[in-house]
Amino acid sequence: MANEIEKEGIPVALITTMVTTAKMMNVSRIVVGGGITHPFGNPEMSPREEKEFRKRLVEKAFDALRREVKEMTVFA
Amino acid sequence: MDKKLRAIHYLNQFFGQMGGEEKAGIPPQMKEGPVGPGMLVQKKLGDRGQIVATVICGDDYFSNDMGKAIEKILILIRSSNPDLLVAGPAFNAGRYGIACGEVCWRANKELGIPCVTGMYKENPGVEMYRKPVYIIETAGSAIGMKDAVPKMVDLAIKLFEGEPISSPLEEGYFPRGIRKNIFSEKWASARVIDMLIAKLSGDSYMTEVSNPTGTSIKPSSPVGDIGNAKIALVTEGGLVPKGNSDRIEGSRCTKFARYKIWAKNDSPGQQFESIHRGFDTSLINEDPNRLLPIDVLKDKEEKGQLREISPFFYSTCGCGTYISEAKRMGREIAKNLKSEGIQGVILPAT
Repeated sequence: MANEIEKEGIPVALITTMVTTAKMMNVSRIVVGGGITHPFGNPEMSPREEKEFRKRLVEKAFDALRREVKEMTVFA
Repeated sequence: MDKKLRAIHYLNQFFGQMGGEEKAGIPPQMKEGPVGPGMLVQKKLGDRGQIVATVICGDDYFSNDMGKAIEKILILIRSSNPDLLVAGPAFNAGRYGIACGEVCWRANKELGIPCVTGMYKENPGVEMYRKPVYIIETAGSAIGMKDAVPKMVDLAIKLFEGEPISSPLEEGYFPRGIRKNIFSEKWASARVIDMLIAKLSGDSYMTEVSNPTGTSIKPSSPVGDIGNAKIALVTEGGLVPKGNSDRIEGSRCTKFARYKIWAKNDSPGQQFESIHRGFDTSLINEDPNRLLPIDVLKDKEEKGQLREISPFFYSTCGCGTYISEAKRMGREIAKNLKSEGIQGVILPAT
């Protein structure tokens, strides 16, 4: 889906922990997420820490969207 | 003595020697005998068969009104009473590939004759027609003509004779998604160890199950200033309003839907749930912000770090979903996003 949206000229930041699969599918902007069952979360943290984690990951996604990429790039 | 096979060859305006792009609008027409690369086809057919006619159609004529073009082409083909049909090869020419695929599919379906064509792996006709049509894999350009034509003709004759068709690798056609059970001398456990040893030793080996791969695409331009951008969320995490009234499937999904995002201080766990069957959804159900970070995005919107978070998110379910369905849904969602003026997408995947 990410690739089809990217083809329309809209950059996509894919948030995933399945980086190998995303690479196989040649997704342009791959951001490493928090976990399969919680891409933007971390249940081991307190609610305040988890929100802080989410904020940093959103900022990483923004970074991926604002960066020029020439080929598949992983934002760890 | 075997009957001499009557073959039809389908070509576009260029290979049919009618002209270049300026002739791409020519309607379907028929010429007697082989034309252009048809000579190679005839050479391979030898005494076994004869190209009785060549059907030529302009690529633009075909793609502008496929329904009208194919009906005219089928009438021409039918009038020659053929035993088989060979189309192209189209190499990487998209309109031509789609025309060859459609001609082969319909001629086989309606006239009951074996049909074979040839295309380069990135030709859009491959994805569209590989299942119903035998498409020989070719090089990217006409440089591969001498290699492709004999394989196309051999396969067409085999199909006519009703001979068993070997694997894609052996015959040279794109896999059609058909799985055949066969007996092997070695157990699977022994075969996989042999494969692992070969892989670790740097020797060549052949996988029995290949992973699908995406074709390379050119990354689109970046968003630029996020403070001036409208961003949308799209997910395959299967987040839907409780009760799933749109009946989005939890696996092998074919549907997506668009829902309103929640307000910053809402308790989305009371309104939404994930129906994804591929993982334990309890953490996301407890707090859907763990899937779609709307609380954080709303903060950033308020602080001016983001112009706007789209009031809607797109949701589908990526559990055992066929790649072709995912692509289709991606295309439809992309069109919607464009009309909504979306400049960037965050796509959390589970």
